[in-house]
Amino acid sequence: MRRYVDFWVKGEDYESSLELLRSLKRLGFSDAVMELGGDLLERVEELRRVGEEIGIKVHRKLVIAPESRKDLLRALRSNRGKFEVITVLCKNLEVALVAARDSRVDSLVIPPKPRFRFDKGVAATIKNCVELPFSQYLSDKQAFLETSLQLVEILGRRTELIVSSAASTPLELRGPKELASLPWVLGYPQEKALNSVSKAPRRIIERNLLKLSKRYVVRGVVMLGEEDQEEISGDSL
Amino acid sequence: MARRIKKRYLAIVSEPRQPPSKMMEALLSSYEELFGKLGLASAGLKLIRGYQDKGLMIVRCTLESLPKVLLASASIRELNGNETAFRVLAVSGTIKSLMRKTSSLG
Repeated sequence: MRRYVDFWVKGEDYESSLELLRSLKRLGFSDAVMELGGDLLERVEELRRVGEEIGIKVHRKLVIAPESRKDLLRALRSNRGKFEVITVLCKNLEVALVAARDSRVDSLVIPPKPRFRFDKGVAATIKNCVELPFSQYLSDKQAFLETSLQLVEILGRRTELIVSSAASTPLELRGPKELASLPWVLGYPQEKALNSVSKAPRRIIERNLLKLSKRYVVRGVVMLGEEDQEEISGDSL
Repeated sequence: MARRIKKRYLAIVSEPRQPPSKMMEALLSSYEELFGKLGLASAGLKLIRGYQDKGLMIVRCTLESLPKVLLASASIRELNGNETAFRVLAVSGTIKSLMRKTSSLG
């Protein structure tokens, strides 16, 4: 059975975050990647524990919107070890080109109607996933669909697509199949569309959890200890 | 021999509860906004049953238009001036199995 991940949920305060987690569980998700605002970063362990009780695994997400390559690299250097997922909002081509190939970035978000062209240049270098936040679709459907169609056409074959809700209230959340309907309508086959809310984000989370664990040495090398006897999948390495 | 057109039935609930007739109107208008009149005509969208007390409706569409109907229902944000979200509870090929799936969800 598929396990679904909402790759971007905005937790603004503790109470509303709990409400979001309960709604996510009801909608059929098993994991939530949360951008935590306010004092929530300090209460993340508490949120994780309550999440486990509800039936949702909580992961931390950092969303950065750098103005230049230098800002991006600085933000990555200081934050990579603190968050499970890092997403870059690409405001310009310079940032998009770096974010597309830097292995510390997990996903990039191209805004609707960007003021730059993402073409073969970005496509040639892209290694990271492209994320489509559903809330951006809800706020400007035409511009979002226009950009998404181009993204699927140019980058879709080279990289994986992730669809997230980017919601901050329960009514902005959407179910996994409703989120997957977006790439499905844009031309992805059904299985691949469902992967954009299940396998693709899960692969990133598993890889990063391993990287953040104490047993990770370098890429491809993991220490096997007494506490970790479970099998490590080849994909995570 | 003419090919039979495959259909799918969807159980859709609104949050907060809304009358099924209003929900259907919103779904049709959202579908038309996204895919146009021709798309709407070929989707074969029809309200099969409505449960006013649960804010639930069962609609039918063609198999080819299923992803479009899902997207159209997910696109709805407002109904009767209230912030609303449509949730697709289940999708099935027959009403009987749809009812079974829906009742198992409680």
